[in-house]
Amino acid sequence: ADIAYATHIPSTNVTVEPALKPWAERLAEHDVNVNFFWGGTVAKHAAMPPAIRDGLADMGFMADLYGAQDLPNSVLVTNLPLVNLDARVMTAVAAEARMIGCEGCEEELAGFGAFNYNVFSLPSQYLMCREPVANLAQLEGKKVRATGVLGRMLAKWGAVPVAMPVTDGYEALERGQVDCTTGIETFMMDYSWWDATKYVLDMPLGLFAGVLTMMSEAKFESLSDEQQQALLAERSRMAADSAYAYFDASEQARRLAKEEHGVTYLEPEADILAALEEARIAERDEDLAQSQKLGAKDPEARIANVVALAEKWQAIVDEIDGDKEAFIEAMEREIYSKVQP
Amino acid sequence: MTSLLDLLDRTGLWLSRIGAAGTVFALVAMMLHICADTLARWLFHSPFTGTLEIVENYYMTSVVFLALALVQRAREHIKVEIFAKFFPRGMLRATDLLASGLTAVFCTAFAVAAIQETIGQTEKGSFRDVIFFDMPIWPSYWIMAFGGVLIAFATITSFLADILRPQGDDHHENPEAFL
Amino acid sequence: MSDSIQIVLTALGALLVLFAIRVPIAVALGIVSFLGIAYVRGFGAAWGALKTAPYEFGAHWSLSAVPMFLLMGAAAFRGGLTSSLFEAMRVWFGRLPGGLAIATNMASAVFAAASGSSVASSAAMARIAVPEMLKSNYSPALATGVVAASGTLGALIPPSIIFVIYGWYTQTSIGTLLIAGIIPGLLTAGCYGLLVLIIALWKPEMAPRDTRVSSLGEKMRVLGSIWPVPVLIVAVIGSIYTGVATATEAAALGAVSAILLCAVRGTLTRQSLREMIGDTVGALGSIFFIALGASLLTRFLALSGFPTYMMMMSQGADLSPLMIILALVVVYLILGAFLDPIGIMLVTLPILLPLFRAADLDMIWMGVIVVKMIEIGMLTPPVGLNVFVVKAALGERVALGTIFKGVSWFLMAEIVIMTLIIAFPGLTLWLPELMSR
Ligand code: NA
Ligand code: NA
Repeated sequence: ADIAYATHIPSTNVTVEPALKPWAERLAEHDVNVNFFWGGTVAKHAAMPPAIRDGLADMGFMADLYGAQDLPNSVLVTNLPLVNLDARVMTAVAAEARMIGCEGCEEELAGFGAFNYNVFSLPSQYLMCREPVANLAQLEGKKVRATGVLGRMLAKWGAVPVAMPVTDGYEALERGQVDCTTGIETFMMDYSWWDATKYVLDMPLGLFAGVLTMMSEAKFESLSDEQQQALLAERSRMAADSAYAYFDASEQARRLAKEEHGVTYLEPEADILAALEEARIAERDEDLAQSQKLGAKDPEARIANVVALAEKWQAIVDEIDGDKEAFIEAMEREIYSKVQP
Repeated sequence: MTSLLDLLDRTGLWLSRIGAAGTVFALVAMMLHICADTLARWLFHSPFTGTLEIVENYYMTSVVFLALALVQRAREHIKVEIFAKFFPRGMLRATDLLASGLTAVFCTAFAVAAIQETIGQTEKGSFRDVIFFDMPIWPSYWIMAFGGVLIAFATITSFLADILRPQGDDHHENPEAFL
Repeated sequence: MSDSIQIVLTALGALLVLFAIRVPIAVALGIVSFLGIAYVRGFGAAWGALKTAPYEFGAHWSLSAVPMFLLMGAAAFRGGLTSSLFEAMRVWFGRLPGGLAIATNMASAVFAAASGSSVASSAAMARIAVPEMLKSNYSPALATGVVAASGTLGALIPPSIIFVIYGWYTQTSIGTLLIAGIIPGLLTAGCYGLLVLIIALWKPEMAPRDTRVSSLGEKMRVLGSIWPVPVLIVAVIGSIYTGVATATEAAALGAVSAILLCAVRGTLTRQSLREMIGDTVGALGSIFFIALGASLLTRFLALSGFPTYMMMMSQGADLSPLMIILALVVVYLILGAFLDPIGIMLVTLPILLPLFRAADLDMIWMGVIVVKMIEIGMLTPPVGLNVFVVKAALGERVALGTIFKGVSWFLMAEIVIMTLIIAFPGLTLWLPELMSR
């Protein structure tokens, strides 16, 4: 069987070689052939759920933030970027908070004839600037490429958020149309930002735990039992591989930035650390308001659930101490084995 | 029959002109808005919030979709004329009818699809997060739908005209209007 | 995978048939892509693409430079800038061998800084320069050929609609592309000028010497009449080069400046305003309609698996970058003979892009090569849009064949120009590199 897999990422993305291609190779052994459509040529971002509904794609990979209106129950989790700053913890939380006990999450995808295949979390966002920014006074009035929750947080801290496609970031930075940008560290590598932003504030601004791989229900039904089982068996491994791929690439980007591109990581000063602590509490109220507006189900209880799950998974991740196989096993045991589409 | 066609034609002309006026209005507004935003950034170090979103969702949809019908009416949409020179006259009439019919069918399909999409977006009340507020974008889909209806109307009318008025070939090329 | 070749070839065949029976290019692209998607993924998927692709295409920031650049060029032409320019260049260079043709070429190069498109440049210059040259007993072939050919400078020297569309499509920095076009544009103008000089020296009867003598005072006076040009150059090229504006912002500044300059010069009348709006709306309606059709084609080609297949084939064949570029040149020469420029670009880019990326070719350099090839296609028979607009502007005075004959000398010069651009990437990439320092 052929599976058309659409995504906005280019075939050079950090997850492709360590996570997506090996996943496809393992599936090929069960006669499931994944055809990738990279770079958003078939569908990307908010267009992903409709693309699956219409049959343009069978599977797709998107950050749910782009489709907040279609996926309010799912985005509720993503809109808590500061609840925990470990991408492994949040990869597990992202899945459990959406796939177990979240009726709204299932329903909103079912509306598009789709279900959650798996979920993972991106590594943390950082503030990268042309000039040193390590305290609130230095941030004051700086034009920062940022959107959504992060944009609002930085605006509260005195920055001027500017909306801009990520692909325009380098040019805008280089020519001073913006002073800073937010982004994960691999963007320094992917978009050459490290040639323009020589100062990175060494303070994670929060991570977006909401990269969904969704799959068409109809397509899944059309597969043989063996193929279905093969697909399901690979969910946690593919999610873990993706999260670890970003994790490794971020470390590499940080090292290369420092060693080969003259980028300085600045220690955050007390006032900005305090502001971040405040934001960590404030984001829950903001998420509640946002979720109510978008019409998520039972948001208060679900936010509390995310907070509790973050503690639960922090304990598990501490215990396994970076062992990926143990992490996959834990996700399988606690989440994926309990969920059948 | 001809008088009905004339009525349709005149209605279509006026509708297309309204559409084109929308394009011009949006173009001028876009130009001034972006200039003002750029100047504000230079002079006061503070760009306007929402410029990107308004340009993309409102000005550009107007510029792209509203002028199609008027240009179609002027038959200025680029065609490849080179082969038609070798067609015998009878065949030319048949292929022209076919071409005009296909154009009408495609443009109508586009209009129907655009209306469906617009209804979906409207029911959802779609908006964009512009950091400090939510900008509704569902109304901008109606601009596309309106442009789609205009061009469907224009192409259907010209198809009917091609059927009913066999004599006189009003095809003309005006490459100056292009590029 | 071989399925994908069959599907794409069938689709291309269907496209040609639809083009042949004069279905508008946009509609032909739309129909073939719709049926293609329906064949590959089912009717629901095709309908879904028709619902979502147009809006996604239309609502785009960087594409917004296109209508504003069009308006800028229309304002410059309808506001009388073109005729002032030609007059100034005639006074300065008219006494050289082939002086009027050289003046035309120079005026086109300077007007290119105000106009975003090649056809608009040719059309503007045809009405002003060709009658003058014919009056001076120039060979009609040379008089029209130089106008049609130097019109292509409009697309190379910024602003440029085609570069904006290329940048939008390939996600390459539009500002950088525009700056990269400057030197190849000037190189082209220089080679054309040299060619005219050689023709005039070799066959003086084709370009009789101008006997009018202009005083220094007159020379200074005409320079004064073209003062809007530096203003426009600062507004567009200057603001992009120094980084104070993006391409879209430069387009807005350029369009506003062009209209204000008309007002200051007293050429902003009801009539000229109506003409510039008419020019702009007609052009952008045509361009965007084709681009809408092409946005469906992109999805169809991706779904067919053809780009992936091409990429794998080329990796297997181990094509050198030069081979890819030469293949591109050949393909564009063939398609450029028949098709319109934006159509060609949007049809071929989805297939070529993966090849460029696989061979690690510089996207800015490739952009300049693509735009040059498109402009050459606008001069080649049987369908040469620049030649057609010159013909349209002159009516029965000159035969189409005569214009193509005149253009053929300039096409010969293009062999030299393209060789230089391909052999020395630095010609293209030096300014952009300088800009980023
Ligand atoms: Na130009
Ligand atoms: Na040609």
